Amino acid sequence: MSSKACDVTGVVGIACARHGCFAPNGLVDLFRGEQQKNVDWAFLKALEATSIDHDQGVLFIYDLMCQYFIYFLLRIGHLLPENLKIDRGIGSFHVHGHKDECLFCFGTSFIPYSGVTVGEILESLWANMNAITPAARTASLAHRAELLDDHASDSNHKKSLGLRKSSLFFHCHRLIVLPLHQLWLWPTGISNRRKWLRPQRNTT
Amino acid sequence: MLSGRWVYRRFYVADGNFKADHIRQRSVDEIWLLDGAGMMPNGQNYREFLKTATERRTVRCSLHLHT
Repeated sequence: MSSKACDVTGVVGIACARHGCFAPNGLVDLFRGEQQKNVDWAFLKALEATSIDHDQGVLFIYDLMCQYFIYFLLRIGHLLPENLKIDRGIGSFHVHGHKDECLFCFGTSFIPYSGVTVGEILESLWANMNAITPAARTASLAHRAELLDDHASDSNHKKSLGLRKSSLFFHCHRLIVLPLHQLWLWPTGISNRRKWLRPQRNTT
Repeated sequence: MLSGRWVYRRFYVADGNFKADHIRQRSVDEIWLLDGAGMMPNGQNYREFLKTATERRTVRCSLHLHT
């Protein structure tokens, strides 16, 4: 659709990168393309609504992080919770489309204690949401908000129902595959493994 | 004892969806049942923030194949 006919050109969503749950208050309208301030507000509201503790720390993954983060603190630093350590990353799918430096600066594989995080979970959530966006397109704004809200809540609800099955799977995975990994790492020496497993000093 | 415990770290991911657009409608009778109570934040606070928000774009990494 042309931007002339549209009063809202899209949405920006915030989700948990581990479970893929939509963060409440993290779905904001876009008015003229994907601007930084829209993402700023979505992030701020999602932090607020998920009641984060400043000791927890945040890893924030965004496709354009290399450009977005430069003036991030200048834009909304005064609105963020105090002493909150924010790490920045780019999803593993997008980061390979960037410069080579971006991979090493922002690739989630290179961020300490970020686990095995892809950071592209929203793409698959959008794929499900796109089934209802044609209906939301011509609805009234209030009804559209409720449609999207309903869909996102339903997605979260289904996810929490499926959590039992998938956590069983991952538990078995942990029991079977991880020991095999450790066996595979054995030739590289115990000294190296100790060095990797040593807790990293918390740098704020 | 939360500090330094990486298991408690929150992982947030942000992304845009341009298919969830909305065509301008003629009727203006909007009745907001849950403005800011669900997935979408409060509209008025959002618009107030957008008025004062700054936008500083820099050159993005130049070999950016993906937009």
